[in-house]
Amino acid sequence: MEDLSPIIMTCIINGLITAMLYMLVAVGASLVFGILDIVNFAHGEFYMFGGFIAYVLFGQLHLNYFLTIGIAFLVVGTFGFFIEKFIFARFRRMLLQSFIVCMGLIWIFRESMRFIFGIWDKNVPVAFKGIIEIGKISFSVERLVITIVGLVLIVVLYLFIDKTNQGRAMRAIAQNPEAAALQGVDISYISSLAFGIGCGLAAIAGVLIAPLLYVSTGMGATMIITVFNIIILGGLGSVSGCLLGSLIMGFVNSFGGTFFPQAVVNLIIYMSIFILLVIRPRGLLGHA
Amino acid sequence: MRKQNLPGMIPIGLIPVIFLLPVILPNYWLHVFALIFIKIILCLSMRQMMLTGLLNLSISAFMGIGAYFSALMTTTLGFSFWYIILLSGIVCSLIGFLLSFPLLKIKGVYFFLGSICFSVGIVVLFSNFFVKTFGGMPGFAPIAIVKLKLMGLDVKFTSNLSHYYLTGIVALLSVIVMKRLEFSRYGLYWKAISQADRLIETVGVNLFKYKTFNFVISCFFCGISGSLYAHIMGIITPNDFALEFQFILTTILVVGGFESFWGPVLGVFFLSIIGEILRGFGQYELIGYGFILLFTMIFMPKGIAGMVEKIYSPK
Repeated sequence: MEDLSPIIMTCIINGLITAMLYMLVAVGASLVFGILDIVNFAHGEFYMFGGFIAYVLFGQLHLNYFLTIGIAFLVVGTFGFFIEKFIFARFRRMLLQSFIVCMGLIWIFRESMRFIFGIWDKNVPVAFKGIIEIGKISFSVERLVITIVGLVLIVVLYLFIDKTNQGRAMRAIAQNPEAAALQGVDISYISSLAFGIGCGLAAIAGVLIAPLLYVSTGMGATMIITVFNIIILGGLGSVSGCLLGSLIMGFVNSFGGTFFPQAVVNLIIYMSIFILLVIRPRGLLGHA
Repeated sequence: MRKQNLPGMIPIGLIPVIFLLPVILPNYWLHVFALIFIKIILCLSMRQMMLTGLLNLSISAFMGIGAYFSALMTTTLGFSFWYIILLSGIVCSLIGFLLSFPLLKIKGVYFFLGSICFSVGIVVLFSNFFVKTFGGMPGFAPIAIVKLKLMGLDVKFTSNLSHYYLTGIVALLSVIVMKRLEFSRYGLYWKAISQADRLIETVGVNLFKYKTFNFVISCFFCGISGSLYAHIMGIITPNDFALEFQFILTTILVVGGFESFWGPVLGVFFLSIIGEILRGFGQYELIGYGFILLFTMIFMPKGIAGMVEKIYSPK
């Protein structure tokens, strides 16, 4: 019997990286759900925008990698801010209507990207070459950077939500919009800001994953289902639940994908999410 | 309840139109209309779920179950289509009945997400498991042709014209049943549930029973339309029943207007005709759909039916 420990270690590292990326995308969708009470299915498309920004700025124009991350956050974040201001602001707390709007936006975004960049998947060069070896385990510097950037961003986001005035306002709106408005919170501005930040984080995730995978117009669609599984798992609108959900999902995908056929893993994931929704709809860490 | 004069008149006037339309329609449009009739059944059953305030995104999954069941029964096992179409409806409603115990306990956004999970799970099942029976990703083909032996005549349903009449008659019957149901006692309960479910329960209405009944009926019609779809297309693939199709159904419902019974019907006709016009743009037709959706939601949130009602109702 061969030694399984290197495989298991690799699985753990891959799981962590996947969890970081999931977290960056899911936290935005979760914020938006908490504050606007809408299920934002178009969130995956902002992640796709991040991937294409990485392809153009980093892959074609050879800009600095970290500069690309910053630009992606700013550009997509601003775009998301205005999307909320002009479109989603009309559909706050309207489940069906906002869902339809999301579908419309998904089609417009995805097909226009396909129109601009063509149907073929894009390859983005590796940003950081080199391999780190610890004993029998080896992993690329690229993956280490992704994990570090993800961790830093999550800590920054946590501090932002917990300590700053805007973060407090966001939490207040999620708890009780009327009471927050009475305390002088500018609901429309804070909602747009939360939406923008969520979109920016999703775009960063897109930039981070671009060198590892191909960039394609369909990448948002595959991501969004996983993201909503994570959000259901952790609890709708809960940021710490989001972290837990991403970790679970990341490990399930990396271990399951290694030891079982992917289809079996997917089916088990959907079944368990379905059962969880029925038994405990508020998720593992969510509030009632 | 306000009396609806004009919308009530439409169906009786529509029956001869449906029977006479093939005279002027080109052959290709007969096929388009057959698909339109199937979509009408699906959208109406989705709308029926919405009467109780539940946005059900597993309609396409139940259609898939019906289609695969029907294909297996008629093609692999060789049963007659005319029993199987009913049986696939019954099987779907049985599955719906079993599913209703967990699924109808939750509501609102949780029900919405739960139905998506079920729908995606079913598509994964059809595409990756039991590949020998279901055909896997490439799909199930060929599906047996519908035959009818009537007074010595041997009719084979291969032409678009026969498909048109087959789906048209089934759709007409479904519309009549669903319309009767909506304006019956059940329909009243359903509408009341969507407005104040706790209140209804205190008055002594068995909430769960009426919700389950609604879900089961809705699944029955999904199964029937799935069976029709399988036999008209001759080939079914798991992607036919994926979320993308469910999204298109939702679009139809919203653009048509889900608050009135005839809204989805209007929506199907409108969007199918738009779709045929946009077909020239190939893969970019979805951009057009996207803009139509956005503008509908922003400028006429009650859909086409809402606009029509606004024009005809005297202020």
